[in-house]
Amino acid sequence: MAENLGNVLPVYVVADESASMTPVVGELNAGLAALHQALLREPMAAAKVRFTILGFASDAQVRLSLADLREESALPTLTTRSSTCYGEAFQALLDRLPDDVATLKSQGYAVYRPAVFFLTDGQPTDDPAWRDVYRKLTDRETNRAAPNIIACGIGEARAGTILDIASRPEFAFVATPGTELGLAIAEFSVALTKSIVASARAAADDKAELVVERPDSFVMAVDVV
Amino acid sequence: MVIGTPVAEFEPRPPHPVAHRPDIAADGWGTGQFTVRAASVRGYQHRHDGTPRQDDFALACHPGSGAVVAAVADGVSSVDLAHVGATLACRNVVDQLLRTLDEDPSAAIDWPDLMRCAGWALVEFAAGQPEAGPGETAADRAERLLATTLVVTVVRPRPDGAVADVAGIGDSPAWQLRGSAWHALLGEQDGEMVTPAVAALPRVPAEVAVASVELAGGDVLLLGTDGIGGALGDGSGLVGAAFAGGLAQPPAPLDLAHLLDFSRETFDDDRTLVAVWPRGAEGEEP
Repeated sequence: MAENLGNVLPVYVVADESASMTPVVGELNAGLAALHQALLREPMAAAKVRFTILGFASDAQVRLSLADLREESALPTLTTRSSTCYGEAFQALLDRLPDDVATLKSQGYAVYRPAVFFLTDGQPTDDPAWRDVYRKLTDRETNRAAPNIIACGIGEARAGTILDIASRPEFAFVATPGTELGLAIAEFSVALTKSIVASARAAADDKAELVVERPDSFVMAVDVV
Repeated sequence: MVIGTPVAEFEPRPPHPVAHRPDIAADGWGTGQFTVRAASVRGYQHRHDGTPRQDDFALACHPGSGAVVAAVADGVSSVDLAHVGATLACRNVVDQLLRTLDEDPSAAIDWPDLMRCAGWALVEFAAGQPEAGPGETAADRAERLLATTLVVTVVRPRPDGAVADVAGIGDSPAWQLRGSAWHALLGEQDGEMVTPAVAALPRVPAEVAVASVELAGGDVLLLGTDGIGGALGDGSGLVGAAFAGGLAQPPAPLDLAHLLDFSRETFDDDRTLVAVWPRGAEGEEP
């Protein structure tokens, strides 16, 4: 390890551009714009994020790649197209993430585990075929760049699918009807981005024992406060 | 001071919700055998968010033996009272070490026991905090509220320098600095991916990381947090050069705080550094 030029977090917004998203594509674009603005209000987080946007339907298309959002005046606009192939989206991530991480590292950056924000109405047309690719993408044994996946349900979202996609239950988000969806997605995403880079306790394991009994040699210091 | 691209400029927000937690802490003193400096500065992210500095340090000189005892802790961001955990761990472990040296100044330190005592200090404090739910033990509460890393040293004088024993839980680093060469004492983080998950008190791993190093005149022993360690890397770049230069002689404590507060884009964590210079054979200033 030489000098670290910076800590960067690759963020991938993977947006469902299928025909079923047509009624909500306006909200989706509003969400992206709000996310952009929300990140710019968080200068520490914005400096760390490298932003990629993938739109998917029957195939996946790159709209933006490893961009510094502080240098983008506006984000690309998403449009709706055809069917909803989750498999295409996850395969595109599986193809890109290891290379992107390697590229950033070769530039001298320390890289956080990538974060994927998956925005969809939860109605894939390739169920259950996508689940195999999803497993390959998220298996940390075989894919060192396996991402944290945050799933946001939009429109008539099917909550079950959203939960299946999210890496952890708290990474699943379904907007309640009537909320300002774009803003809700933006706030949720920025909060998660910050929490991903904040330190956390390592998952408890058998090798680290919780101190549950007073050690014989323990003396409470008298001048601690 | 800016190193490379600076962090965005803004006025720090007051820390909430704490009664008192200074943005910067600095300390320093010398004895016949050692010169000691320490500083802890709130990171840019915490300044921006209005959250307290979650790093802390504690220093003492053992009067009988002349040994320097020091600790650095980095409270885990995701817990509510991380700053309290860091302070409790540092102060208790230093107090405990002074008692050990009182009994036998040349004692081999039982690091796992010492770490369990530091962990227990968190548990005792947690016992006075509200339960999250029925049946939550004080130890569970300590882990939920006060989890913190801890790196500790005892530096004992020798006629020709000093010997430092170091131990740590979590990712808070320690180095021996000789000239411009940084030697990491407790192992380096795996370079594959930055991982925010750290081992932390009140959990004590089966194997506590330990090191013992002889310090010659001109060497500096350093304990820190990952806020400085991450920016330093292996010390071969701009940050390493700035600190090797700044620590070639003991700076004034406020100058160390100023050095530690450098602005460099994406390095926004709290930063803490304790530095110990042994005086040479004739007791001259380092």
